[in-house]
Amino acid sequence: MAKRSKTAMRAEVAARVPIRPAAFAVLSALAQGPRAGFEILEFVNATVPRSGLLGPGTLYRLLRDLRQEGLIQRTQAPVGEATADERRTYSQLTALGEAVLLAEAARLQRTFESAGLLHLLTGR
Amino acid sequence: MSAERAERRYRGMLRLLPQSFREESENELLEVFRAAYAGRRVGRVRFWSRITADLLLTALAEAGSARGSGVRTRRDGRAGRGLGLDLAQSLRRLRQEPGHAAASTVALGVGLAAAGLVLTLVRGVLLTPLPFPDPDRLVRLIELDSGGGRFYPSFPNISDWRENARIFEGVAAADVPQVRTILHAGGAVRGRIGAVSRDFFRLLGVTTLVGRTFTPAENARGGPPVALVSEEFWRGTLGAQPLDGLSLAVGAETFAVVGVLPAGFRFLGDAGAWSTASVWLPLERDDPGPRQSHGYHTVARLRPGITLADARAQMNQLALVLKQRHGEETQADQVQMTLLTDDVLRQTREPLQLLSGAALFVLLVTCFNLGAAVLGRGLARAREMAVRSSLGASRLQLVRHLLVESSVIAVPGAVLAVVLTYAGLAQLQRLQLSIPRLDEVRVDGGAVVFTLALALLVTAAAGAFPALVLSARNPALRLRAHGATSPGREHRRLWMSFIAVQIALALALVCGTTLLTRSLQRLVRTDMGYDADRLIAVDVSLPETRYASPERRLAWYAAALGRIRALPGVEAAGLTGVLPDETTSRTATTLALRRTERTVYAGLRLVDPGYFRALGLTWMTGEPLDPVVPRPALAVIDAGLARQLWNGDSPVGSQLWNSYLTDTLTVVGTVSSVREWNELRSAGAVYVDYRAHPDMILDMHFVVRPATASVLRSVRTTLEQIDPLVPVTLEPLRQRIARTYAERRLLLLIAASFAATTLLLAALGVYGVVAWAVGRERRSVAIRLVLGAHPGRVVGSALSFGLLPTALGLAAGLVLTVPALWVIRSQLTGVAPLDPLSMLIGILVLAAGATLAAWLPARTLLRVDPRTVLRQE
Repeated sequence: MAKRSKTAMRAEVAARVPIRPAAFAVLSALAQGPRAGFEILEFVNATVPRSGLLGPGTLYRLLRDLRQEGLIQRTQAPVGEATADERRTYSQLTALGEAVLLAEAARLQRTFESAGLLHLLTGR
Repeated sequence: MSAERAERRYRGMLRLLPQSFREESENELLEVFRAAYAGRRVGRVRFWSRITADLLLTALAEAGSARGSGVRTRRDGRAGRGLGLDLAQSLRRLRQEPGHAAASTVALGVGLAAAGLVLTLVRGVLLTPLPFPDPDRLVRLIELDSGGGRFYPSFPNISDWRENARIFEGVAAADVPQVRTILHAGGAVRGRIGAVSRDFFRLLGVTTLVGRTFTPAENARGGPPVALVSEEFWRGTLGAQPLDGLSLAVGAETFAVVGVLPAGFRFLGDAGAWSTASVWLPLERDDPGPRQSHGYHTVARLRPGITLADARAQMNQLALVLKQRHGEETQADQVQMTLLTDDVLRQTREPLQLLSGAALFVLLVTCFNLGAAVLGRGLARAREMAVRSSLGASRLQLVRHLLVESSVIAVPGAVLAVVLTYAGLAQLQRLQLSIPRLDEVRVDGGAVVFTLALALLVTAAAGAFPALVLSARNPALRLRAHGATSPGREHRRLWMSFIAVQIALALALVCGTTLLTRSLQRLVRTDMGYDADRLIAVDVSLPETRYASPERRLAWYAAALGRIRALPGVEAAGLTGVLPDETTSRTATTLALRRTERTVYAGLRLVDPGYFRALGLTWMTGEPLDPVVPRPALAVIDAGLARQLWNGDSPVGSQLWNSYLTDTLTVVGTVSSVREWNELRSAGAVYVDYRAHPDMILDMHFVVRPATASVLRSVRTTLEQIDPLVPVTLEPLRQRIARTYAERRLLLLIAASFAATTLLLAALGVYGVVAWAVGRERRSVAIRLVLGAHPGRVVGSALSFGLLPTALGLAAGLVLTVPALWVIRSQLTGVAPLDPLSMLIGILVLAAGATLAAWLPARTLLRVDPRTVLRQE
């Protein structure tokens, strides 16, 4: 991917925020590093309430859309998991994806702040 | 299910996806599926329904995105593109006509749910084998006497068969479970207690969950007191304690628990129902009674290779030999042998088969309803068809387009159907009916897949014929004429005949339901022989430990009866061992009466002399029982029995003999008959004084008049004052009677909902055709109104579009209804199958429904303002 200027990047991010909760959940799942499809499914189903309908098909479409948007990309199995089944497909965040994730998180935080609800997030 | 099988199934399901998408995604989908299947944390049904829903959503979304705004690029493969386009267009049309879409989806969903629910029941209850190994070799044995009487075998006969019949691997007996008080370390509970003979569990192939079954030494006269408990009782009541030192008290004895039966163990219960018991005791420890004391469920396992016919022949041979040996002492002139499975399902099979038939009707009506909707919309779009065809669409493409259009509702319809089936089954199971194995029935993945397949089949079948007809028109003609929206006569005829068929099928269901309703009404309303509405029934169970001596029992009942009669507001009270409902399956209440050559079955009623007055029975001949001095050898019989045995001669002074009471009874009088709750005929009854048989009176019932709340309260208080440790339950008698109608009510309820569904669908069909006619005729109506036509005539012509097929449907329906009603005759009591009133009601209901459905759209013509309409045109 060609290196983008900071302003161009900012514009690209702004064009994509806010993002849908399911997409946000997938990006969050990838924040710690590359993951396989099933791990993403587990993470999303565990963190997003009432997302019981997120199955293999829905997940595939979501990942494909995110790839087309340039937010994630396919990758090799991470080091240390090389013994894993070679057929497994891993996804990881692109720079743009990471920026969108952060921007969305920041937007959510601002929303909470402006509503005076930040204590709900921090627990204080 | 193994992981490989699951993966194969999923791979098959992937075919739902558009081909190009499947090719690109299959590997990744399978990869995620494998991991998801391995790590699933939900039940099988939930997992597969999630997976199915996910695939359906994906398939729909992928198909829909074909018409999207360039997010996705060109698709490859021509066939795929055409189908995707059809699908996309159909979806868009659905969005444009949400009313049509919703009506069709609901019609499909309800129709499929009817079929799904009944098929789930049939599969779970009828088709799944009994949960024993080799159930086809398990048979049930019944004694038949020369007069055609059927008896549950007596133990000496069972014992003879066990020793002599070479065709069996074994013969075992079980006593009908009875509700009694069970004392355990944590307290006292009421529970069912059964008893089984040697070999019973080995024969059925049942192994214990914990511990062991009875040893032969335990199941022998005077063996040690031991018991088996059900898994539910062990976990629920006993807290799953270790068996070491665990014991229970039933009656005067304490039993050591030696084993726990597997969860869900069931066997035959009262009246042959499939039932459970909390505790099982060894049957052969106590005296199982003489050769004429009937009442044991008897089951045998055929040796491998022996056919039922062979076994029957040999068994009757054996019965002959035994009859010669024991003479009059045995009633087993012949032995009836049935497969246990058939026996368990005897009473359930027929209602379920009838419901299957009814469900098929509902499904057919659904088909024709959807077909009519496709036709109707197709007619309205005749012009579009013509344009498509002129632009070069082949007939095949038109048919495909119409088929796809009718099939897009298959998925939401199937989803609705699965939800309704699930809810319906849960509702049925909550009713706690005594349908054998109902609690084991599940809506599983197979049922979901089946429903979906059926949905596709139904929509395709419903769409195919109209599609062929609609696509067959010559496009050139249609485009040219101004009446492009006025379809040919044969289309209208087809449409109307579809509606007529719905009316005909609906008529059969409505008439059948009316008939069932009238039958139940007859049963509820026919005179019982006593005034059930004014009576309270009180169940009493004296604890055996506290009331071991006959004197104490008699004293308690005498005191209770005296105090109840003295209560303010009580008109009359009596005591009986058996309430007038309880029929003849219980050992203690049945006996053979012998008068010289004839043996009959009758209910034995231990009563106090005031019982007849409390129940409101009429004295026919002879004298009542002596209210002061109990005379064990005297009996009162009911008029029905007197007629049966004495043919109109007075029975007073005659002798009756039976095996159970040892004394010969002398008849002193007769009273009016009492009807059995679930039948129109009366059960023969022999009444003897309870005070003469204090050994048999642990469990008795009071009947108290009148059935007011204050009397109920004061009776309860009084009984609790006498001895708070005697458990009693009080209930208006009418309430108990209503429970015995539960199964008939269930059949009626399901039939009624089916009938209502078809009625509604047929009415929708009529509505649709009239609404279409109204829309088409607005212009001509406006012109005719301007020219001075009477508004009534104008409405009449629109109405006729709905009423003509209704009349035809009713006529055809009558022809169909006659055999349909004949089929349900076995479920009727006191009504003829071809009851004219039921048919008349059915016809009137349908005619009224159809007329209303036609009138609603037609009346809008009355409000047509010619100027507005003509200006629009």
